[in-house]
Amino acid sequence: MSVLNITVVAGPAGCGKTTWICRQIQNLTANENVIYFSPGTGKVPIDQTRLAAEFPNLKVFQDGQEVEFLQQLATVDTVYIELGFYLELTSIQQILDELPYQALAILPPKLEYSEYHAWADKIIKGADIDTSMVSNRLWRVPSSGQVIDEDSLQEFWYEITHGAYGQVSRAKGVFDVADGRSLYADFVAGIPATEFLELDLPRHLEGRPQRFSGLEILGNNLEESAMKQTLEDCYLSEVAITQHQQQVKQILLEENIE
Amino acid sequence: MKIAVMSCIHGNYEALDAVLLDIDQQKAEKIFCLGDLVGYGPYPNAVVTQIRSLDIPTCAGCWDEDIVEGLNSCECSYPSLLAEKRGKAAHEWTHQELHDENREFLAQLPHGLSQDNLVFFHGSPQSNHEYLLPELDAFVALERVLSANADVLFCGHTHVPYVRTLDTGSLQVRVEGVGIEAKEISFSAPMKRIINVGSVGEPRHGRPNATYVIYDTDTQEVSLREVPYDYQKTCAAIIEKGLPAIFAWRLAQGLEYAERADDPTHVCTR
Repeated sequence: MSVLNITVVAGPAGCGKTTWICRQIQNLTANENVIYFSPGTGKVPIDQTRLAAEFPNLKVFQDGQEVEFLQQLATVDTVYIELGFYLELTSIQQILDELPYQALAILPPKLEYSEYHAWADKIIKGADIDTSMVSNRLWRVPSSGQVIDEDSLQEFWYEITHGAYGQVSRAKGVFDVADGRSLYADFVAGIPATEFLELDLPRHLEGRPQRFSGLEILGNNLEESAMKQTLEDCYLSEVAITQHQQQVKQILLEENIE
Repeated sequence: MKIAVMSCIHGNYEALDAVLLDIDQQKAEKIFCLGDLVGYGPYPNAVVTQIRSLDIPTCAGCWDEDIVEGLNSCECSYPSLLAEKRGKAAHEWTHQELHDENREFLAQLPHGLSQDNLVFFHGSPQSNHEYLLPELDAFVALERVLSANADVLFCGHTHVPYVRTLDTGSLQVRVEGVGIEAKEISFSAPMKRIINVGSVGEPRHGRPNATYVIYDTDTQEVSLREVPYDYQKTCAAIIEKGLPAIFAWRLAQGLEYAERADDPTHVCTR
């Protein structure tokens, strides 16, 4: 029987925890059984959705699946547990009980003293984020079942990341757009902006999507009701969804014929 | 003679006031206004009243037309669903706020103005809603100036100022049609200019400052003026008067409120 490797990854918001885990999974051999668990994300499992899309064979667990997660430990080779910055580092002991694990902290290069230094077995240099800004508010909103106008999303994302609704240090989201794609959006203050990433999921072209989408924002003085209203203003109506889906299906059909 | 040309005030009285002061300091002898007196901003009545009281020759903008005739936008108006919702909210607010006598004033504004070899339009001689973007195909741009029988065409609408010189050149046009023998026509076009004067009240150049143009009719010298003003006052009024609060943020950033064109090949179908 192979040895179970459990790696618990922690670090400040935006330093690259999920990105680091992605790289590790990419480097594993195809026959290794890997599972991923990120507690505390509630009804907005953005990182879980991104990883599940990128690695279809990866088993992903979220809040409410703790028992199933623990049951899986006996059958897998590698386990990654991601601790959001909002969780106590000691909370992992409650989850894993007496099981051994490697504590790994992804930290910005300039951060020399922190609770992570005392906790971690190993420290990896992550993104050079600004740790001087103390963000005190985490706002999450699921948008599952909604389809968003992509141009409106671009506009809304610009406003979010440029301070229209408060000082934002970290934002990420998964959104279903009119042509059936699922897009991943990612922002870290002080880090060059990235384009929306198309998740490797099948286009949803049959009514309202029955899969997760949602938004998570970390910052100060956040105008949550204004953000919620603006997000809702980006949602397409039932009629518009149907029209867009019919158009895309027609285009795809014509492409296949050609 | 120095003339001042301004456009797109959009109910921003603070910006208009600052621009009028700057025009006075520049010693311009005449002012032309290219419309869009109202829309988005918190002081539509004050702006119209000021333009009327100063008797400034003004042509109709797309917003002036919309507030009189109702919304009838072509796809070029709004870049997104979100922008459309915001634009319509601003239209509804302005419609409710505007006094009848000011609406009547807007209703009688001409489509264009001219003085000697200069013409003045909000969008283009074709339409108040057409965006003459700086990247517009040179032939189309030239056609717009020639169609107005002018040497210099002043416009606004895009909210980003620019000067475009269409150099003297010879043109060959091939005309074809069903049942018509193909015909080639050659002609030469003298140098023409398109001068976009930017926006007084809703700039889109990344700063909140108002822009307008001073033009010297003797030397043909163009001066793009950028005028700082207390935009925070306008931002506060936007919120106080119940317009969408995001307009205040966007004004402070020098971003459009809602309408924008970014396709230079699009020809407005209104």
